[in-house]
Amino acid sequence: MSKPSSRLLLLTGLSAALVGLIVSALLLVDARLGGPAAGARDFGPTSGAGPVSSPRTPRVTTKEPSAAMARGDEAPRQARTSEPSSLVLPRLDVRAAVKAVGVAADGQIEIPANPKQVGWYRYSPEPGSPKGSTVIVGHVDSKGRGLGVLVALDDVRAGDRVLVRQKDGGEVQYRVSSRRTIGKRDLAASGAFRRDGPAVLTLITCAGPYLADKGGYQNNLVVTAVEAPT
Amino acid sequence: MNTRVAGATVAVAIAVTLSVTAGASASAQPRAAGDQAMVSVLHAVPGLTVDVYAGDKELIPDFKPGTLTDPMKLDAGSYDIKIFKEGEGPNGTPAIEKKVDVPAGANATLVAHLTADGKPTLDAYVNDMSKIPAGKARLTVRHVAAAPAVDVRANGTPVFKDLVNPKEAKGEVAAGTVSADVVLAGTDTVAIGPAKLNLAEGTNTVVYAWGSAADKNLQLKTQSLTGMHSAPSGVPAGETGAAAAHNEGVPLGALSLGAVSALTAAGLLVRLRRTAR
Repeated sequence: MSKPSSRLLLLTGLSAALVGLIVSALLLVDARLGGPAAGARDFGPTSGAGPVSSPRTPRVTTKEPSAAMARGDEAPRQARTSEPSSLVLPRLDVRAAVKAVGVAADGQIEIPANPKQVGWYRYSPEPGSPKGSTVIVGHVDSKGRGLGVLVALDDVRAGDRVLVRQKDGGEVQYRVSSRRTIGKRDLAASGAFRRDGPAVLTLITCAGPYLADKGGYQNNLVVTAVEAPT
Repeated sequence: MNTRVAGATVAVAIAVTLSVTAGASASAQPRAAGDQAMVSVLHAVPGLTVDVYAGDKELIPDFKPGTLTDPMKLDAGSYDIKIFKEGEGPNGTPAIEKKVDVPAGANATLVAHLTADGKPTLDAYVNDMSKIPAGKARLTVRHVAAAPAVDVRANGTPVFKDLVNPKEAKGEVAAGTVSADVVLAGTDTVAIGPAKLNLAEGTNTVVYAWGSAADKNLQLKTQSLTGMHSAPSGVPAGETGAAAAHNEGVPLGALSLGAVSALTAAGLLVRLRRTAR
């Protein structure tokens, strides 16, 4: 091995290591700014009527993407009403089968045991309905089965496309308008389950902090999307 | 029929103020605010088309048996309800006359029906519009038929027992479709049905057993009252906390990447110096 080539190799390795350092520094900064503090990365309006005690959310008033979308939403509705069969969020690579779920004996929504599946709350409006909040729920993590498909919702952004395929072969297209971290006790009154008012899709999973001695997850992550045919 | 109606006229000619009480649940109903009430009218006297008057004002013309009106908004108060055989009002002799109190804020159904022994009468029922837990439906059964005491069964199991004219029974059941029938109290002798009932979540389905056992025209009429649904009490969508660790794991990953990179850089720098010598 000649001296210059080994020197070149070392230099290459050195620059690779430096790039690694920079990336790690950027990740740390990003984590600090938009980190896992409950609600810190929420955006968009609350989902509807009812008091919502928002968990320590710096209210950043930027352009509201949902306002424009809501206007576009007034266009003639082409989607037909039918039960959902699958849920897709292309940017987050979420693809999940949807099964209809009801209410468990304790009064809470049944969640599909398989965390790769999501559940449509059968008493909420079918996708394509002219009013109300269509609710889809899914495990963020599950005993013995690892992370759930909706863990990806943590990284959701305003304007993300959401597709709901329907049992009759149709499809309803949405765009994400809000992400809210809502205390578990405030979810019922948050408007997520309203059956009147503007038609929206509401995706619900759990959000940290996770406190094992206080019943586990303390919050629900509620992502709202409005119909936006493309 | 005519003689019976005439006899009944005498029987109910004395105006009776109904003991309709606006229950706490009814007055708490948000929609019927102020001094008004929502009132539907059901005609459950077989074989008699009628005109319904409130005082001298015609409320429902040409009202046929088995018909239920849409809810009407009425001012709360006392109404002198007169029911005439079609075309005989308002100055003739009413087939049924009764003073009915309509409580403010209530959702009520006036039912013209037969008594247990087959005489036409009128009763006012306040509909329970209070909230229903998520996943449940309210089932109300009203015995307004010329028939003895009955049991009401859902999917073969008695849900209400020993119901007599003109009482009602109600309860909250799991939402869904049931096969309902009405049997003579304490027996398996089916008097009406079976009929399929869609008990939709968050609604009050009111079932009227009406008609006359003697005339073999007993039947069911249903009334659906909506909007009493509640939100479920929670969405228990996480079990282990693994996702919280996953989402909070970014800094850890970044830190370890940083540490590895720094170590590599240091090692390479040392090697570089040595090769330079």
